[in-house]
Amino acid sequence: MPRWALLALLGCACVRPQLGPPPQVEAAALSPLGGLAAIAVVRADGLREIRLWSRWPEVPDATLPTLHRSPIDALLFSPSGALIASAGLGELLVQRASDGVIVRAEPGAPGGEGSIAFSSDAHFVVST
Amino acid sequence: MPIDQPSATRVAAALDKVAVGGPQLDKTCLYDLPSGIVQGCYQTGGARCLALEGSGRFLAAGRADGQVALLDLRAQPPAAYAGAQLAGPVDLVDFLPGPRLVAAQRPTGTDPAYVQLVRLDRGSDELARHIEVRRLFALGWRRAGLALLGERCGEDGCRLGIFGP
Repeated sequence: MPRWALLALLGCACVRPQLGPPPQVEAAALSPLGGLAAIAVVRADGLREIRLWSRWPEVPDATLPTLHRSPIDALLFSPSGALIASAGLGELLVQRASDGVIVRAEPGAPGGEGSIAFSSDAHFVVST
Repeated sequence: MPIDQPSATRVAAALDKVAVGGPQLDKTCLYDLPSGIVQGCYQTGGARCLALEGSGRFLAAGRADGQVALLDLRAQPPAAYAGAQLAGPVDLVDFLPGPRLVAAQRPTGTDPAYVQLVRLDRGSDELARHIEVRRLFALGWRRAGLALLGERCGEDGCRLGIFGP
């Protein structure tokens, strides 16, 4: 490969995509190892989704649809990063980070930052 | 398993215990997981944020006065320490590998964000500095060290990202 092509490739890898302003974020979390972030955003159609990304939030690695009707104000990865819990007024959801499958939905959670926690083995999720 | 602790709004969990507290409560209580049996209640002051170290040894509570109350739950009786001291209300607290305690104050209208990282085995600060961010959402740990999730602004606009301190 010519040197100019290699430099062009490296340049592409370092240039941030220009995709407009950051999304409006309701809640955000970092995976325990810090390499993956999750943000809860409201789409243009009013539905809420969780975006998982490692470099740019505009280019998510995965997008998880949610059932939240009220603002998501708590978001948390499980210790292994395999699960993600989200809470808003009256709703607690636990989803698989890999495919978004809902493994638990609990009505009645008050929500609020710091209102959800995973046990170290992720066998339990706790909510106020 | 329901736990009856009125006014509690903050939780943290470890392998076999749950800590429950809140800004309106002077004490943070520990419960066995999954039985829900109370193990004890400790004077932490009102907790704006809570963290339990993964093994359940340490409990940290961030307060409005900038202090982080740190309890060693393995001591008999549990011993209290001043874990960290920030200039303003503590918004985020967590335990990171090392073991380390991290506490942060989000930016307000006049003050920048502030992060303090404490090595628990040495009892000394590893990092204590202001951070230029517009918003600070979360703290974590990467191979390179402390990781922050937030929004930074520069000449070309504001960007959400994961960055170091």
